[in-house]
Amino acid sequence: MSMLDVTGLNAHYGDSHILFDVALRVDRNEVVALLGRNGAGKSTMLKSLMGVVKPSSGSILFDGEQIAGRKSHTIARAGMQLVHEDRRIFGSLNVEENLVLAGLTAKGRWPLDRVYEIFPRLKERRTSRGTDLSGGEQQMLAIGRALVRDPKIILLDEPFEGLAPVIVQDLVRTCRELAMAGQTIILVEQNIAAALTLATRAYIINNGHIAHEGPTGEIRAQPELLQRYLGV
Amino acid sequence: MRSQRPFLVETITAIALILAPFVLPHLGFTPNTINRILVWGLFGLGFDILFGYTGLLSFGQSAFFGTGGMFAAYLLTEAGFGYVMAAVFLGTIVAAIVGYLIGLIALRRTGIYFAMITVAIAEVFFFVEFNPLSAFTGGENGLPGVPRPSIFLGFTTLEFNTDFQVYGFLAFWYFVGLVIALRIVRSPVGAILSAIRDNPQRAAALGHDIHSYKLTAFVVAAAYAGFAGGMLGLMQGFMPPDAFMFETSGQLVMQTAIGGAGTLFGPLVGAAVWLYLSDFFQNTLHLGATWKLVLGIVFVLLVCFLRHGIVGAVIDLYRLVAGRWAETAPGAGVVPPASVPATPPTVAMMPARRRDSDRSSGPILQATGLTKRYGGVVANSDIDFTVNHGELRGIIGPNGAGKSTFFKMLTCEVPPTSGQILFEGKDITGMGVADVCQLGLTKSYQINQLFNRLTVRENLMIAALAETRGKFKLDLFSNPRNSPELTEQVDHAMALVNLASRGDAQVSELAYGEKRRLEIGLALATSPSLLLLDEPLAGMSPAERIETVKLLKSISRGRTMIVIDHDMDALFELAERVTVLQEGRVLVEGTPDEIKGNTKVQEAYLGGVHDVLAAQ
Amino acid sequence: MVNWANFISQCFNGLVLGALLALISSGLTIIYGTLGVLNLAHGAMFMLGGYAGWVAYTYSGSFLVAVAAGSLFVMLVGIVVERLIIRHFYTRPHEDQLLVTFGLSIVFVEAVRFFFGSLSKMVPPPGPLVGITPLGFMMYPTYRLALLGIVAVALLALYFVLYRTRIGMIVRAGIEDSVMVDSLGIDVYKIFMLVFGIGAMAAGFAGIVNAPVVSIAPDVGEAILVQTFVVVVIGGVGSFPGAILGGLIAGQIISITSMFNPGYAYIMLFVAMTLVLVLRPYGLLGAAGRE
Repeated sequence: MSMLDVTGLNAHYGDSHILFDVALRVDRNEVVALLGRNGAGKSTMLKSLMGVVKPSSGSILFDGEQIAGRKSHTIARAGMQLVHEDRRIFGSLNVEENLVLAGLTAKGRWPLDRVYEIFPRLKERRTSRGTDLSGGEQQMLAIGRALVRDPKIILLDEPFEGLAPVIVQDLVRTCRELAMAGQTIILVEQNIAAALTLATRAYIINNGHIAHEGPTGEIRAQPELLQRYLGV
Repeated sequence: MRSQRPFLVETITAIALILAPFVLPHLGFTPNTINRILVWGLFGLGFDILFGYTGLLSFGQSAFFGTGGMFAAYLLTEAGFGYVMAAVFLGTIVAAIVGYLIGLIALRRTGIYFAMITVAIAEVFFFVEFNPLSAFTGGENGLPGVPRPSIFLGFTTLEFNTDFQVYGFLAFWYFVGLVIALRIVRSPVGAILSAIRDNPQRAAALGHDIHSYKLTAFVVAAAYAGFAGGMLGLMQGFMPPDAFMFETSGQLVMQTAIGGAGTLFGPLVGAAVWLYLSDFFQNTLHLGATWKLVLGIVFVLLVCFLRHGIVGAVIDLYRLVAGRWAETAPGAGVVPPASVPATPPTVAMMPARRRDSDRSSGPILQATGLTKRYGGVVANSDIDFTVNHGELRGIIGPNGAGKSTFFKMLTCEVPPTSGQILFEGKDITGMGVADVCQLGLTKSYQINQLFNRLTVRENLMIAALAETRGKFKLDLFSNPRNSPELTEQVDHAMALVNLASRGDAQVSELAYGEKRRLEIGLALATSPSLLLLDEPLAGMSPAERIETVKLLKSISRGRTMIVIDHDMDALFELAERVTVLQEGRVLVEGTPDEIKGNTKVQEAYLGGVHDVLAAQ
Repeated sequence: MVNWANFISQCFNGLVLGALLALISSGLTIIYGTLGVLNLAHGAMFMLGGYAGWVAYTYSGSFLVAVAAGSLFVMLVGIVVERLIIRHFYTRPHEDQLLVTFGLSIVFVEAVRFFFGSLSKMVPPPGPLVGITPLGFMMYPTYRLALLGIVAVALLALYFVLYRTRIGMIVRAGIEDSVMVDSLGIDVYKIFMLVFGIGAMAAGFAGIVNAPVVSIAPDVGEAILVQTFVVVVIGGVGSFPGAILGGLIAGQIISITSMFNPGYAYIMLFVAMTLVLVLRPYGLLGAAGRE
């Protein structure tokens, strides 16, 4: 059984129709990339999965459970985590409080040290308030906040956006280690190279429709595909 | 209510006012209650303009009610002033002046702040009346001995002594007040007030000085309150200090909500219900003070379930019944076409406004060194950007490139941290968004910013009014429907964005694609010489995109446009030149073909690929 | 006329009143910060606390029981009101929220008038706190002195709950971004309910502990509500430290002005509020962006 099985998903933002009958499948321990130009509907896709945007129709089977239309906190407790594009760190809470808060309702909560092992920088900045963190540190905290809940699946929305190349390299390495350890991930990323090296399979979304689906190796071998849907 | 018969509402009201004293007593209204209803109704006319039409919920109207009433009563009693109506008008003027001064403070903020400040104002006035000014106001005794109403006509004086005569007097002034209020809400100012209620930011972006209009509504409400306060004194022969109480403001708010805000008649109907029930509970059911508890519960239930009050519910019901009747009547149903005709009818292009400084060649917009920082985050840095007259420029860039911030700086929605913007050779850096729109530079939004409770025609009129009237004009009594020029302009814009058949539809009834076109139409109806379009194709289906690209092409004739969009095919088809932004900077600029062939651009879109690959 | 003992005693009164206002305002401000609803019934909650405490006192004769009953009853009222009514108004416009909470305040006040009449009620201070304490340079009512301590402890408790407990952590996070809190598996609606309860309780507690100083009547909440608004506008909406600073400032303004002429107290409050609005439109400790 797949970890995630989405069929016929439609989503609106206000009265603007964003996703049209999207189908998507993610297997256990798999890293799947969603590619597409901005405005294609990638973020809306992740938000609909997490229940932040309520899908207007369709089915989302998550580990055998129907979660379409559920509230975010129920979906979170079922084991899904979304790392938002804008990170949404609580600025008035310090690093440790952000992590503790995230773990409060998780079944198999990680000890904080396990997060600090992955992101030693966060341990150093343990008592700094969210507002005082750099962009890279915020991103680490956002991912750490998801990990601490020991989620069955993590949805990463543009985790590398706006970060310095050195930090991107670091994060890519971390993500690869997570993947090797068996973490299931959906990755939305404009940094296509990074996405293609991390993921084993990718979906290309164009104007709210799935335009292509296949192993990343296959996509890499077809530059014209990228050119058509992602290039200029 | 806005029918072809111009004075329908006025006529019906006049008939109702004449019949009321003969009909209402049979329903259990006492003459005194009927008179009090009229005073509250007058008070409410101004409040409804402030709350129902402009969306400003004030809990401080008692301050102006009391001020106007006390001033008039003081003139007529202590000061021995003999002209009754002159005293009332002077009270009205004083209330309006006080309203202006208070408005300057209260309107510094909106929303809940405005509500809190007005509550405080009401309380302050109450204490001022009671204490420092008690020598003039009689403190907790009020001012007794206010003469009965009379009107000095030069040759004779009309006296109003019995309840019935006083009714005639009050009904006459209510009618006058209503006619004036109707003129105001039907005037261009009234239209703009409704626009401010629905979407203040957009009203400002279309070139209206919303602060001055809000202040206008506040002063009008204060003047009505002052006038009604004067009437209260005349009616009772006594000016009570509780006119100043917070409870008075509260009762006005509740009556208006019960009757239905935004209808002008709501406060009158609400007052009738309120006073009738309070009489009924006290005199017939002998509930004593419990009547307020019952009314409080009724009010809470009403706010929960009947959101538009009684008058609103009647209007909704009427529309429902009328709609059903229209559907069943053979051939009478006007069903809006399911799909709009594919191509817009051929209309002459809408000319950009001719302005003194207009030139037909050379740069229309020059930005130099434009930088915007939010805290530590740099959204745009050191952007140099020039657009020439008549050009159609496209802007693209990957997520986070700072396109939207760039647009916001150009239209002066956000001030740049540093840098300069010249529009038609004029430095507009740091100007307000309304001023810039008045100069001929405006934008259509990525997310629709429409006036949702107005019709398509009214929406476009708001935009067109900014052009014909300027930032602020106090034409409280003119009728925009009488201006053929304005009508023509609105019709023109409506045809241009292919909404001619939907003119009377409310925005909430439109399909998404139609709203999107109206969004562009709003910007267009200000007749800009430079039009910025922020993702005009956002959220559209492929078919709608093709239509909209055609529309944009037809709009672009004779004007300068800058378009941001993610749909590359559409943008390259439209634009003559394209600027690519990346990470807040200009990456490259060129013709669509040059951009397509540019490796740096490909790199930007296909993502910093090689660095990361190399690093592994 | 103005002697020093009198002046200092007035400053003390101002401190007591200020602390009380700070407590009530922090209740209002955390509700607004988390739920986005300005509760016009907050003054009525203050009044309800007084009456619930008075009833408990009449039956038990114990001041402690009265305080507990007053606070818990109002907390319960807050929770019920949030569940039954306020919850349905989160997605409605601000004006509707104002109207409904205003209506609720009328209902509460009139319900109390219905059951207990309009005459004011008095709750005596507990035995050991009756009388007057000499402070060397002046004599001061013992209970008022104690009240300062009681309210300070309550404020500290509120601070402790907000800044040192997990619930407080969730509330502070919720003030910032309730959607994200929800995404982390925490049911925000339960938190909203709790916050409304705690905020109401702050007012209710203030209502009963103030009852020995100022006797209670159905309409005592109205003046308190107005003063609370001024405090919040001065301090900045949604800011707990702002509520405390604003409360202390307002308390001093009211009592020092009253020393010269009580009638001008409100005018001075209003002048202070206007100054803040002109010089720092978002309040002394408020952040821009909240309307």
